[in-house]
Amino acid sequence: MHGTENLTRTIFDWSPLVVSLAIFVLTYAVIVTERINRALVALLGAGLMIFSGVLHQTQAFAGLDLNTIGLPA
Amino acid sequence: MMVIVAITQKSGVFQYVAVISAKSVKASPWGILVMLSTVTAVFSALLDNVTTVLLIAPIALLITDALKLNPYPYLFAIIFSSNIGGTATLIGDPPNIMIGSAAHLGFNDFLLHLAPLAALIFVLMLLPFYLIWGRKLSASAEDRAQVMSFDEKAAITDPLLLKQSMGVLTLVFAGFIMAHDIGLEPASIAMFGAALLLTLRCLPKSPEDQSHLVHKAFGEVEWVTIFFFVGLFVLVAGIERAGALKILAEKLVEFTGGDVAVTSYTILWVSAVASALVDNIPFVATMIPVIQNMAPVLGEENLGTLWWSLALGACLGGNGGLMGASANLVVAGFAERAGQPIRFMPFLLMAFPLMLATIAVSHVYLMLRYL
Repeated sequence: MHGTENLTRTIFDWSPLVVSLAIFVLTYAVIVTERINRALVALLGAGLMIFSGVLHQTQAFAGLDLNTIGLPA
Repeated sequence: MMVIVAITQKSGVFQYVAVISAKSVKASPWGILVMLSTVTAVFSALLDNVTTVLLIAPIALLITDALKLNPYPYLFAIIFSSNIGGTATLIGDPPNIMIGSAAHLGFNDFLLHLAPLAALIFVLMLLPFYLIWGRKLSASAEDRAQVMSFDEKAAITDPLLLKQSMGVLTLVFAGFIMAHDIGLEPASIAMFGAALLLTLRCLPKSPEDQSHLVHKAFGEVEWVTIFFFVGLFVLVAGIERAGALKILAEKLVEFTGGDVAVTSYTILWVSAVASALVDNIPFVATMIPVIQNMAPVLGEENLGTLWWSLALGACLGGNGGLMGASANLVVAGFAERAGQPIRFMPFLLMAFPLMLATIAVSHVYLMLRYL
């Protein structure tokens, strides 16, 4: 908890680099096709980043930029 | 901002501005195109692009219908003007908000570095618009007389709301200008403004009406865009933490030989082409950490030019394709409903070369001013 580095462990101990890039590229590819609403695709991809163990929820939320999220509101 | 704009919109002030614009040029078709483009560019610099085109596109369709003109040139000009106008300020375009926040660049930095170029590009863009469409546009005398008879005062449906929302908007913009110097973030100011305007609207109402009003106002928030941002930031945080962006930055520096000028030009052109084909928001979200990772090699003091290259490439690149920016798709939606759909390929064939011309102008600007 609370972003302790050694608590995140990638699923099956695969390389975090490969796993994160695979999720990233796959998500982008689906966004570009515009077949599924892009917000949903991005959130599903974000979920995979967390479930695969690349990121802990705390680290995921630390990545949010509050101006970018707050200004359109 | 969406909460503030959605409330302000009900006063009719945006329609008022449009009618005034059309009448000020005696309802001449080319004059209206220049006027609507100018209003779109200025609004896009101050509000977000999607909001601006949501307000201007219906007005353009209204006027072109009254004058029996093909709306396509007007909608095309609105798309370009919104992306060019948005380039000028911190709050004008999502890439600028993201870059400003990550690089600690304030409202005034964007005004000083990007606004002069955006203004120049806007004026230059009118030339191809004139050559392609402007000189051929014409409308009959009676149709023009009808537009001249529109009453702008009738557009203002709520004078009290007009005063309240203009007051709050003035405060918010003053806040944006000062924010950087007094250590405030723009999102705090926009949120406070929205709460203030809502409170002003709620004061004379019963508790039931208040809860209805607040509920409706928060419903106007662009939630889909916001959740898209949330997902993207988490995705980028994932590859960042896995070290992918550091490797990409190293490769990019290796390719450019660590030369600030070559790196800037590369970022400018690559961002432009990428942003024309895919939405510029995910692209910028990926590039920000890449540029941050270049600091040790290129030097912290040289990052400024790289940020401007990214902002110019991403914002102006959005003009290159129909999917390049969310505002483009909003305009396309209006065109479709009006029975004049904007097709992907014809738009690309005309917009992409024009976009590349704006990037060439930016290239010269970067060269003369920074490199």
